[in-house]
Amino acid sequence: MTNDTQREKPRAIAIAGAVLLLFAMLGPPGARAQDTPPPAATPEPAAAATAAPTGATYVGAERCLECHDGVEATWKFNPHHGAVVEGATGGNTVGCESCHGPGSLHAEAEGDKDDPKFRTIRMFDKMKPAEASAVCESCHKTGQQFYWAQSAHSRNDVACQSCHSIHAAKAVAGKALLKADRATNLCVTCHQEKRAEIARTAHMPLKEGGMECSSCHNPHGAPGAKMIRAVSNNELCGSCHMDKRGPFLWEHAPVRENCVTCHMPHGSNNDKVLAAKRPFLCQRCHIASRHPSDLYDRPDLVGNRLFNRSCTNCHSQIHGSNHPSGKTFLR
Amino acid sequence: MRMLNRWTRSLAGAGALLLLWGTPAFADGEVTFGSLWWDQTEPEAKYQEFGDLPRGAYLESFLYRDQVGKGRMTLWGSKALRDDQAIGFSYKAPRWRFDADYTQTPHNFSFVTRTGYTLLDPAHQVLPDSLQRANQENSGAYVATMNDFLKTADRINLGFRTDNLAARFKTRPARGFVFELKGVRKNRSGNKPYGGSLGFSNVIETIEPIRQTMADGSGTLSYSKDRVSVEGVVGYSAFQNDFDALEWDNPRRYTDAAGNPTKGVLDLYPDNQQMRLGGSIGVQFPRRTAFTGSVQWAQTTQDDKWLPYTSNTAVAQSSLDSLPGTNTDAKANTLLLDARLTSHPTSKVSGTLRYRQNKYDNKTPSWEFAGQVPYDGSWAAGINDAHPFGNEQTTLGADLDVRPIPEVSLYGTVESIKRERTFREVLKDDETAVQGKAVIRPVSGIQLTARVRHGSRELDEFEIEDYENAGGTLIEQSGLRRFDVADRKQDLADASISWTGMERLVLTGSVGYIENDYENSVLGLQDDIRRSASVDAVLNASARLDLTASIGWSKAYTSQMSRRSPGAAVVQTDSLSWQARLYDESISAIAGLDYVAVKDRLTLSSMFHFERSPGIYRLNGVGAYPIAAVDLPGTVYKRTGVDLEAMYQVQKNLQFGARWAWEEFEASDFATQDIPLLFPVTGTSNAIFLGDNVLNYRANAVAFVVKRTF
Repeated sequence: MTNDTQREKPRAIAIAGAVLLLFAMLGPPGARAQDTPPPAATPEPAAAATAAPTGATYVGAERCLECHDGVEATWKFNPHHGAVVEGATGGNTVGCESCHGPGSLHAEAEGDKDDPKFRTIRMFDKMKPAEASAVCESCHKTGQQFYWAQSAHSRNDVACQSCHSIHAAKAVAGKALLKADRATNLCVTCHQEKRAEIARTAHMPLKEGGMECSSCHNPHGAPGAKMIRAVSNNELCGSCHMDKRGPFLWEHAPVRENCVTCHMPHGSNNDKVLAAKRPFLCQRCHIASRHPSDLYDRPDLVGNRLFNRSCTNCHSQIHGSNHPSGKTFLR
Repeated sequence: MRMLNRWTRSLAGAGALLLLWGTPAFADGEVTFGSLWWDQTEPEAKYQEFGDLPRGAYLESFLYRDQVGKGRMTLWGSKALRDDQAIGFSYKAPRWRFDADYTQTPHNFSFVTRTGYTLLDPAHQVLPDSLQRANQENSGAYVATMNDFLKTADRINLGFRTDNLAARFKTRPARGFVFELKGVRKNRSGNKPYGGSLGFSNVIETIEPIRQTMADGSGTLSYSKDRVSVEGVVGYSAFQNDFDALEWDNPRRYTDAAGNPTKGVLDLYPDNQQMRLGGSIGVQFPRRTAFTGSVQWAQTTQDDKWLPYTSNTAVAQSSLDSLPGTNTDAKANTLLLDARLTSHPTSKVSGTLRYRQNKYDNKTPSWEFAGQVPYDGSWAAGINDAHPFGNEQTTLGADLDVRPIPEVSLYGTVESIKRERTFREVLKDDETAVQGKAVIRPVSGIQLTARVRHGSRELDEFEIEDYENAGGTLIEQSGLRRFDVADRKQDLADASISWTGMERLVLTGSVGYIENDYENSVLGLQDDIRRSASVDAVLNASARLDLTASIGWSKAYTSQMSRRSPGAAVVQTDSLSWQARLYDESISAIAGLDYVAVKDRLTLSSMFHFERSPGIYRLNGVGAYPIAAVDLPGTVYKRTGVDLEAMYQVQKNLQFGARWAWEEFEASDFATQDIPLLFPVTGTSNAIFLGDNVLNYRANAVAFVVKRTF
């Protein structure tokens, strides 16, 4: 590649980005009318985020509870209940209509589902995923949800309501208003292969409840690959295994670059969730002369290189050593 | 003490029940209290690796929610008053909330071990002087002396526990602003089996004491107005190890000698600190177009004092003065730059452009050592350079999603990944990946998903000098390409089907395949192929009966090539090559039943789980390999369990329940079972292990519980 070409590449990327941005902002003819939601009764952020009925006005939560009396028991301890958020719909305090939109027409229908007015509030199970999520995004757009718009879940039509339930959360103490008792049990309903992986003999304490999928992944999106909660795998693992994050005097190169070169964090058949049984795992990279190059087969069961931690019986400081004599991780 | 704990638990549980027996006007919650008995066939084995089951009375869970002032408070606990408990508190006021929780996560090793060492604080494993002296003076009787000594040594428990205390304060101080403070403190204590060597093939397995503290705190300020959000974060974390070094006596020596130290010293994990700063901006445009950009920077430092080259006083370099410095003065900077632009220009088309750069810039100085004392035995002269490894990864990606008709969604991704490293045999590589995915909903109730991905990673240049010593002689096989940096073709394919055609039945199934082909690696890992399949079913058989079942299977196959070099020189001919083909398989199944036997009175539930993980090790010589290789014995880990529960509702808010659980664990692994105390079993016994290891067991548990809701 020539220097000229190298200089051209960033420029081409910048132009492509600008074109996409322009295309997005202007859109093809006719797209604007199609995508713009109908105006809400009162212009405010949440209502503007999705379709809201025209002509309806806010009636207050007390009016809603006149019919939906069973909701109060779960709602009164809901984290949204009574939250003061300036700019929330229907006043600065979050209530039913902050999410469902103004309810006067719906109330007038008096439970008659055939009455067109009945469907003038937002019914999330009837909405498209992106539209339903947009209502939540009107408040939840920073912190955990900062990257939602670009997350794999959003891209694949997963809505906030796919995992969370305002009125029927099953999580312990209503945590995060999850639809399952634990985040992990919710994740594996779609990520089936992970259910089998976390059941393997060597595993993190996921199935026991000591941690959750969401301990490492942010399901709302993150700048890291695989939506992990850190800038890299090593930074993520190091947040709990700080002892291994170094930097050390003597570094083991693959340890410094990526923990998952040797470990399978979702589960493995091998001790320490290793990707393969030692010594074979180590011998994939270390052949050299003498003992690293030997084939340890059945006759060697009388030796000591196949037992317990194998190579790391002696090279126990394999994640790095700070000892002046620790070049080969023996000290 | 055990009796006291039981009484404490009982009183606490009974007190909680009594306290909550009345029905507060506003509050709600529940408390589950009971008594548990369990037993197993091997008392030393661990019933649960990450759990700690009590015997006797216990408070299983509680939840208390009430209005306090203008806010709501929640107090909850699960597995309360146990060693794997989780207890939480939260208070939510209209403008702010505070959450705190405390969890304990035990990690029990299902080992039975014995050691003759005694732990002296700090981290000094000692043997009786008389034993060391006897072995030194009569080395011919070493095996007999040590066997006699170890057989009468105490059995000990191995395991550790992490206590995790987390707190969070979040407030909305003004319109558009959110401020959040978070803090976590983890204390890890216990022990685990560890190893150290006092000479070639002279490993001593010992116990590493663990007493570590990890603390992390961060503050985040966010502001959003209209379509713009910005966020800034500052954080700090620190790791502190109470044991800087682990010393263990050499059973063979009582007095230091050249080549024979009286003890070995390991430098345990050094303390480290990390400072973090970050900023993000998000802008929303019409048509669900969003731009986000992030910059995150962190600096990690470590400056623990060095130990001397050796603790062996008979070696001249045992003085700290022999070292070129006093500490590593290690420092590494991490930088993340991330920018993404997502747009939905029409209702049927969306796309994302992504740029991501992640750099680990290791600023640790390169240190040069005149030699080393690898086993605390003898000085091995020769220049040893310590290199600070760094790396950088830049990813440029584009996603395009099209939904031509409501029944079909198509997803495409193209990615270019560039990696750079310092002090590796491959300093640069490029990877290009293309992925396509289709989601089809041919009829109502059925969804088919299929995805294929192809990636090609090519190294830029291979630095053969990295495989040579200072004299230019090869010290590693020239044909070896380490799999983390080698040329690689990666193919992935997976598919799933979801069927909700019947009102009461949901069926989902998936299959997956991924292959990593290291086609240009003559030696090292050649192939890595993983297959998986799983099926889930949920059947609401009737208003009273729910059934769930799940089966998962996976199989991994890897093939690696190596070459034996029996002497000091690396053999470059093909005559001593060998191959290892490893198969790791796992199958797991879960089946559950929930049945309302008598409406509003009696519910029955059960759960069955089964996991089996066999491993197969096929070994063979290639070409003129002199000895016929013999496969290693296969390994199997198997766990089967059943849980049954019956809950009887006495009145609206009161339930009595009975539970029974059974679990069987079977392991067959040459590496962790029936380990003799002294190794090798033929020839000179030098190594010492902790003896017996993973044990099979069967366990039964019975519990009676009372659940009160209010």
